[in-house]
Amino acid sequence: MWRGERTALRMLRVNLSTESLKDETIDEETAKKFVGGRGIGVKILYDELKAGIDPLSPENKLIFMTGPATGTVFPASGRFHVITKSPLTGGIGDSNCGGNWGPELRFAGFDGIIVEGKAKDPVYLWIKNGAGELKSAEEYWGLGVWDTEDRIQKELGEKRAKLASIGPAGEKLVLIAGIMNDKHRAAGRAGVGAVMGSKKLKAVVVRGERKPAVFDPDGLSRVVEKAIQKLKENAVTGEGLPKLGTPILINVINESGALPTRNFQTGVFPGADKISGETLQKTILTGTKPCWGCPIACGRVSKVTEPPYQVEGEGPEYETDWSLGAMCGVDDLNAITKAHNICDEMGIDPISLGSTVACAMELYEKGLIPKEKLGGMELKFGNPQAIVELAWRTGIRSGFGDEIAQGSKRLAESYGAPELAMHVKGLELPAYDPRGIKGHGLGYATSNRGGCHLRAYMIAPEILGIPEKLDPLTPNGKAKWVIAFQDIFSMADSLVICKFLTFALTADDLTALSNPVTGWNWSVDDFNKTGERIYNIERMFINREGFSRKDDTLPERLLKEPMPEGPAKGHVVELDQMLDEYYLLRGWEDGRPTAEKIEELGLR
Amino acid sequence: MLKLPRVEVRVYATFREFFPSNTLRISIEAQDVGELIDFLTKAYSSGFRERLLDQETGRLRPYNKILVNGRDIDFLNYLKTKLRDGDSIVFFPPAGGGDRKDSGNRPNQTSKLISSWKMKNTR
Repeated sequence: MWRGERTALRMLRVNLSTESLKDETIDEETAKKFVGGRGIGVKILYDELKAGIDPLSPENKLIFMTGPATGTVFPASGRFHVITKSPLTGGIGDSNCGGNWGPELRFAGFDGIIVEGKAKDPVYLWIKNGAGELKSAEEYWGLGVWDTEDRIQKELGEKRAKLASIGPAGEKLVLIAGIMNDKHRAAGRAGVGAVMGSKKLKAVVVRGERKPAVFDPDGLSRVVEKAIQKLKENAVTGEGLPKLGTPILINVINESGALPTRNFQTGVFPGADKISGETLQKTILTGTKPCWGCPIACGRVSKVTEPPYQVEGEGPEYETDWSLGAMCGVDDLNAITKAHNICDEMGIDPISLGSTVACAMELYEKGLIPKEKLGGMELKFGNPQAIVELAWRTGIRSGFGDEIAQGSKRLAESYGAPELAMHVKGLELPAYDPRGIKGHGLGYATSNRGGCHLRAYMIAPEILGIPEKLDPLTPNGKAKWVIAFQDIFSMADSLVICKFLTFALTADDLTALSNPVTGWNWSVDDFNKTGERIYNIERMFINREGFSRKDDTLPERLLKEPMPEGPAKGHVVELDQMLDEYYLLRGWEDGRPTAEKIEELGLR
Repeated sequence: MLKLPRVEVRVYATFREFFPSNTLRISIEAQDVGELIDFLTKAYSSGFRERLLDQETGRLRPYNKILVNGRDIDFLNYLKTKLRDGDSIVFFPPAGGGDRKDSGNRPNQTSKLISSWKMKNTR
């Protein structure tokens, strides 16, 4: 972006229908307002998409974005963001991904890619050192992600090229399909993989040697050294995550009574320790793996040698460990790891897969799914074989996998029991029961993309005590925290940096790191305000698609069924009072920014 | 005669190194959480109290977490939370983390990046 003088964002616009590639720039004024990553992505979609388009039609646009921090010495800047209209929810469909692809796109000379239209036959996009071209992907269509990466690298003679690709799931428009990178990193959520598949785009391959410039390299180095010191001294980023990875959370969430078990029927899972980070470390862990430029290294490299679930790969991460584990009543870590790796290869979001399988298990146990549909598979909670089988079946839409492929909302509706799908706005909820962590429930309800723990990670204050400890069992005083997280995480997704930095670094720290990169000389207020702007334009996008207060809600189970056991026994989520306070503080009415708020943020 | 409370203590992550088992069902000579920490240190492992508490202030080191019957002691009576027969007390190190000295030597990619950046970057 920076060349010592003011420049703009360099974008590649690819129209797959006309097979045209165009270099474009985004002016600095827009870059300053929306930064990059998710911010710029939503801005483009807001300006260029009409309301009401079919997300799987050629009219949808698929955006791959990096941010000003990507590929620089800013710690944990090895990520990228995918933004589109979601075929799963009908709202904003976005997902953040680690690995190495993000920095390589910038090395290849671009800050972002906008994919439009639809190819006649399967293609892949190859970008090297500032030049892009479309190549036939006919011989790769149908392959899993791992084979695709190996074979395309071989075809191009470029072992160091990085790929963002889909597996069979994306190709077959599985609504919970994701886009994979480095074989095991996922832009998983909201069906972004299905959008890529609908465009017949198999992969985006990037390779380059250009160094992303920053405004003040020496100034940046100085601030980065201090930041790394903080990251190393912090208990979570310097010890917990590197040592045990994200599955470190299994036991503490379970002991807090908030580990969603058997489709959120309860929050206590007896098998939690068997699938915990502690057990992972003692049994299948063979190494750790960082994303590009990350001093934390939370990634898990794992190997299962015991039959029948032998696999060599990565993970599981906390969310997958939970979704294919406690959520389905499964306490077999080997089976979870196998199913996790199948998801990686097929290109499926494991959160949505596990949640949809759990929904199916409850439907089955309640006698709503006929046995004949299952080909002999026992679709009961606790069956490890079921999660492994449904992982590959869903990837290729085979048998009952074809029904899982539509996600839990449509699945439950098709069996006449919509209340058994644990989603918000159509996106499956992640690994925390909000009856035991109430502020987090407000985060779920008000996340612009639906059931998501990453718009506002309230686990940090309510369970871990970062930056300070809040009582998880009260709904009081939570709204302002949710807003603060949503705004700062909007910045994280737009600079494109890993949110784990925020365990150790404050908004002040992040502002001090951003300024030498961009030269924009922000105060912390400017930083937060920019995040607020991004959150609001994203909200305006979904308002235009028909979402409002009625959709800022939670599954009935979490509002009406008291937690049956454990530390949160008797609790439900008192959402209405939290939501009223939230809208007041946000300057919204009925789940929409008011005209004054829109004016204030320069969004008119 | 005063009956000793019989409680269940569960320890996680690196705290497991201090005890013979992940779960202890024991009678304790302790009335509250603070006394329990002393009791466990005396009975099992001399390093436990020091890992858990700042020796100067007597408060929990940052991010160590103690639950009594599932409730964080921050929302009960902190270290003075009284213990009764049948209670469960759970100890977590910081986000389940390890002792820095056994975290091992991880290559620091970002430091390497900074040095190479400084070397190559000429303006």
